[in-house]
Amino acid sequence: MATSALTSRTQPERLRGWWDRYWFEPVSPRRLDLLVRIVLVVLVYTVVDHDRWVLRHGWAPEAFYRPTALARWVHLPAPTATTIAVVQWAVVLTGVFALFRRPARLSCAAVFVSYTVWVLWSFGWAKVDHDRLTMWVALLVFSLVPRRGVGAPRSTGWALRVIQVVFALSYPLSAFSKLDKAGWYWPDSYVFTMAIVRRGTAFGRWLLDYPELLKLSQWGFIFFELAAVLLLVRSPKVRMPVLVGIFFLHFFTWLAISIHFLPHSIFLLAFLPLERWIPGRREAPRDPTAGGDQAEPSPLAAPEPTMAETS
Amino acid sequence: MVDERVPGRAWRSLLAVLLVGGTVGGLFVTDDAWPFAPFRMFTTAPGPETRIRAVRFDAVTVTGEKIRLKADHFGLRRAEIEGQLNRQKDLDPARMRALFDNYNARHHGDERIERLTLVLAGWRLEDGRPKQRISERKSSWPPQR
Repeated sequence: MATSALTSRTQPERLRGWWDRYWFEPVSPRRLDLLVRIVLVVLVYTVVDHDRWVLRHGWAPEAFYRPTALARWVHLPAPTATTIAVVQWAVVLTGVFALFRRPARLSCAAVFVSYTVWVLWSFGWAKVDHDRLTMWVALLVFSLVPRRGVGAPRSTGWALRVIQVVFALSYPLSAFSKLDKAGWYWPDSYVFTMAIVRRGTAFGRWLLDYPELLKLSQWGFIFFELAAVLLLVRSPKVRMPVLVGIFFLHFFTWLAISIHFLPHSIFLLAFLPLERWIPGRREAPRDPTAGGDQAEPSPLAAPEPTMAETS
Repeated sequence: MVDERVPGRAWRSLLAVLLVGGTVGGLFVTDDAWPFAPFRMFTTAPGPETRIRAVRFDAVTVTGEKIRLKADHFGLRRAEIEGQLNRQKDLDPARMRALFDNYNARHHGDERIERLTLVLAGWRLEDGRPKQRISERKSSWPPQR
C-alpha cells in the first residue's frame, strides 16, 4: 500500500515531499540546545572582548554617525557612552540567562533584540562588516523553535537548515562579489598583499616576500568559497571535505591578518551532529516524539540520519 | 505511526524563503540595507604597482609637541573614517572640525591639540612587493592659511 502510494504521487506532492525533507528534516532538539549554548558563549565573548571597540562609538563625533536603513526606520539615535554600555550589558545578561534555555524562545528573542541594537550601533558609522548575518539569522530562528512537543524535531531541523543555508550562501556570494567587481583578475591580484600591509601579523608580513604563494592562496580561497555551495546538499560525504576547506580558509585568514570571523565561523558547528559528540544527562524525555538521546526509536525522533555517517 | 505534523509549516517556509531571498538579494543593494548587504570585503584587485594607503592623523599639541593619532583616538575605526572620505580622498571641513573638537573635549591642559592633519600613509608596491614608504598630507583643522 505504502509503496504504491509513493509511486503514484503527483508532481506537486513530490515537490512538497522534497520541500519537507529539506526544510523540515527531523533533528534531535538536543542538537539545537547545544548549538544555542555554544553560540551564546561566543556571542557574549564577542560583545565583551572582540567587539569592545563598539563602546568607543559612545563618544565618537556625531558628525560621523551614518545610521543604516533599519536604524533610521526605528529612529535609533547615535549612542552615548551610557546607552551603549547598557546595550552591551543587555546582550551579556540576556545571553547568560538564555543559556538556561527556559523560557527557550523568549530568552533568545531578548538576545536577538538587544544584539540587533548593538550591531546597528556597530555598523552605523559608514562601515558594515559582513560576518554578522548568520549570527543575526541564527538568533532570530532560535527565538522561534520550541524545545519540546510534537513539532520540536521538525522545527529544530528547520532552524538548523535555515542557519546552514544562510551560512553556506555567504561564501559563493562573496566570491560572486569579487568576480563581479574585479573579474577573474581577483585571484591573480595583490589583494592579500594589500590586506597584510594594512593590518598584517608577523606571519603575514613574512609572507609578503612570496607574492606567488599569496596568489596561490587566493586561488585556493576563491575555490573554497565557490565550493561552499556544496554545503547546501544533505550528503555528509559531500559536505565534509568542504567544511574542512572552509575551516582552513578561516584559519589561514586568522594567521595572516588576525581576523577570525568567529561570530560567523562558529556556525561550521551547525553542520555537525553535536548531540553525539557531547554526552548529555541521561533523562527520559516526557514526550518520546520530542527526540533526545533516550527517545523511543522512531524514524522522526532519531537524529538526522545523513549526519550519522560522519560520526 | 509517524507523525507528519509540522507546526507552523506555512510561516516557517515563508520565513526561510524571505531569509534566503534576502541573503541572495543583498547582492543587489548596498550596505545601507543591513542585515542584507553585498559581501564586499576584500573584493578589490590591486595590481603589482599599487599604492596601499591607510588613514592616520598628525597633530600638534598646545605645547608644540608633534603627536600621531589613530582613528581609535576619536572613537572610530580606521575604515569608518576611510568610508567617509570624499572624492578627493579627503575629509570635508565639517568632519575635520568634528574630530578636532571631539579630541579637545576629552583632553585638558597640555594634552589639547591646536592643529590636526589628515595623512594617507602606507607603501608603494613594486612588482607585487612593498618597496617604498609613502605618505600624503591632506586637509588640516584649523584650515591652513
